[in-house]
Amino acid sequence: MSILFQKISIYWNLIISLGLITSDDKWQKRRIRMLNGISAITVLFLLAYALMYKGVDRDIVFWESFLSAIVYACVLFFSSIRWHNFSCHFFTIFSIVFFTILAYIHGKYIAAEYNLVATSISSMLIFRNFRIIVFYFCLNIICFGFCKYSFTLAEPILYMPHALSLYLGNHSNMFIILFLIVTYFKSENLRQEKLLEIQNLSLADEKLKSDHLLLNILPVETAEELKLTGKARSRKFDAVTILFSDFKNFTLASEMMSPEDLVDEIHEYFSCFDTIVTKYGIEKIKTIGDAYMCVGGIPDENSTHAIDIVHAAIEMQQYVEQQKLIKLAAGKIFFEIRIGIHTGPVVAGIVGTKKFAYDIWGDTVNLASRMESSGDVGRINISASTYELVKNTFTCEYRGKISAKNKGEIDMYFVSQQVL
Amino acid sequence: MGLKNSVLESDSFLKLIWNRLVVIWDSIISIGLTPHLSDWDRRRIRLLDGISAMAVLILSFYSINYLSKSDWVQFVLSFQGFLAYVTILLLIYFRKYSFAFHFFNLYNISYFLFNAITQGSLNASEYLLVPSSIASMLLFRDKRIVVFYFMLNGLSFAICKYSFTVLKPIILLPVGSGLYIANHVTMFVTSFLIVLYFKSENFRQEKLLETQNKSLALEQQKSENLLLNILPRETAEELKSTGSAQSRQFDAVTILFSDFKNFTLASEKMSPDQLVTEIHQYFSYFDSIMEKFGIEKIKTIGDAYMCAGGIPDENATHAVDVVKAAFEMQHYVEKVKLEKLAAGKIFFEIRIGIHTGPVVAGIVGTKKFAYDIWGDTVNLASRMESSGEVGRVNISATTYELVKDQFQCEYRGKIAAKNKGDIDMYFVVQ
Repeated sequence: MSILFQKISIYWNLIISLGLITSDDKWQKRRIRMLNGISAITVLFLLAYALMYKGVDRDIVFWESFLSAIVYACVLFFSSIRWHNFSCHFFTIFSIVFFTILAYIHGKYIAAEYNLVATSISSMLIFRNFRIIVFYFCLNIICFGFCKYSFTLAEPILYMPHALSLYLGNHSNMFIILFLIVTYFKSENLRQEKLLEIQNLSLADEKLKSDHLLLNILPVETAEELKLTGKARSRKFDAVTILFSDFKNFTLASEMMSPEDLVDEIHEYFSCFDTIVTKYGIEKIKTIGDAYMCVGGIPDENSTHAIDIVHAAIEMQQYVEQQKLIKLAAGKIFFEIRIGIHTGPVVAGIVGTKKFAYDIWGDTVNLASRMESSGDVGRINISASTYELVKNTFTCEYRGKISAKNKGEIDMYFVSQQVL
Repeated sequence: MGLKNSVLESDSFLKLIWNRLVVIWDSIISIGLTPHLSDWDRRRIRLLDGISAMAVLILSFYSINYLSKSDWVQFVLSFQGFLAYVTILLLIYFRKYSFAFHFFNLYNISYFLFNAITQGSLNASEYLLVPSSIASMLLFRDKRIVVFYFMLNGLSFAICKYSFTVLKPIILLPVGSGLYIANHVTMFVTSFLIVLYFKSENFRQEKLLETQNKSLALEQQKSENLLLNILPRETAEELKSTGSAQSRQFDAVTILFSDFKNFTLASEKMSPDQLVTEIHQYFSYFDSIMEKFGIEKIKTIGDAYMCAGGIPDENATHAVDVVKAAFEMQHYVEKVKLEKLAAGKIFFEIRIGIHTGPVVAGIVGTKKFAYDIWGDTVNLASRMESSGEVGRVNISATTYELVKDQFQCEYRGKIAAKNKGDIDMYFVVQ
């Protein structure tokens, strides 16, 4: 039974898709499916009538039904050769003319004129041009009026002995066809809307995910600028505070651990550093092997960048110290870090056209790196320019003028971490 | 001139009235709408508002007409209809939506049925069941309700038709009332308006959704493109779906480091802005070279450029690709150098070092995701660069083994590299 049903639904689908190709737009598909559907049903109805009335009443009903069934089959033919517009007009005009003539010939007794109600609705749904819709609607009404008027003038040309059953048949036709076309149209619309809504939801979801990931990597304004123009202008900052950290015994450890374990180890430390810098509103710039680089005061300028960075540095040292104790207790290799901090002007932005990364350039960056290499494990080494900005918040210990590669001798300070 | 003005005035006056009417009509069909309603509810409520408002208008006109003719029976029939539709509008206003919808359908059916049975076939009131059946189809979405009301309409229609054959009209129609014609016209016009409204609303909604769809797709495309500029596709997908990315071991990748020779010197003579612009120009070109050879750019560190062949997709040509790219980089730098020399500007030269070996590739940390590589191979590649010479491409023994068939190389001997002892190095001969 279900196999039969499936077969029928496949055939039905074939019929209503006559003349449609996948590249047709949605509206074309919808209207032609509807047109083919109505025509096919009408052909079936008319053939049934023709069979029922075969051999009675001089075969009037038989010939009327049979010939018009052929005409409706022509609609299907026009559809199949893709004369879609023609086929829609042909269907509408023929229906109007056919029902009007039927009503005129047989009079009010068979109620053929009521099929015009269904025709008027169907023409509304197979055309989109408002003028065409109104034209056919008016034509239907005029023909309907004409039929009704003709009934008052004269008796029918051809009496139908079976008028009552045709009267009932035409009325039920009107209702059934109306029901089918409106239901079809409504369900198609709903299906289409549901589809679009689902698509929209999933698109929005995708975009959210992409954007979320993107904002992890680039500052909001930079990401938007890149999306909009494909490039981002670099910007000068007068005072930012840069932090560099480096693991002391990393090279040693790298010889004793597998590369995977080492990367896992770095991941653990850097994830914690990421949490710390996020907490203080500091922009992470990048990691270079086992070095971690971040900066305060970009992309949004603020006045607390130096203090924020020193706070973060203290927390980083505390975390590393805590890990060291745990590892020592477990008899594992432990790590220690040097931290160097310097404040000065930089240019921030993006260079190149691939692997966009928000980065900073300038001598300040080199000096901050020197502060790290001239520092000591477990300590936070800051330059004079940073010292000036944090001296009221942190107790610092002057180290004297210390030589830094390519930079001559510079003042350095250790931050006393006990006082917080 | 004056005529023209008056025409214009009357024109704008008509427009004013029309606009007013539109606003009034819009406020009528917005009765009972609240912002939290779903789109479907919004549509069906507007439809019911519209039909009921028209019915109120028509029936008030009938009521007044019959009142003036002192036809009390018809007056009562019209006036109770008028009251019923006002009730529907009130129900919607007080947000008894479901009740309003069912009341509307049941009332219509019984009203038309009553009229047809009591007034006979000349009233043609039964034909109003046609738009009523269409309306019920468009006001409900539940299939069972739709079918139920459709059946009820059809059944009522049949009862009316049957009653004409067995019953005599109880209420006689006033002579020349034109109700037969009026009801037929109402059937057509109401059906037309209901379906037209529904269709236009559907199209509007679909257009809206389609526009949204297009702009969302465009936005998503932009975000995605930017993302794929930064991360390899698989890594981006992994990060999106799980929030982290598994690092992966590669047995043989070829790493290139390049560094500008006189950059520190230049940085003292140029403004930082100029310097960044300069770097941007070089690195943009290097980026295009990497794209051409399918090499993964890793990052830039100040004036250093780092890239790797053979990740994230393994291939057999990584060493050859990277050496080819290195030559194009040197060519470009040389070309720009000649231009700058001619213009009397500061010029740059680069050292390039290449080494092949195993790495772990992936992402560390939870912020500023960047596809990166780790391992001793990276350090050695960096040493190859610092032990190289400007204008030359310095490669290690492992890279040499992979490219010796395609490039002529010059053995430099064992050279000391920081922390790495003495290692074999080769210059690639162009």
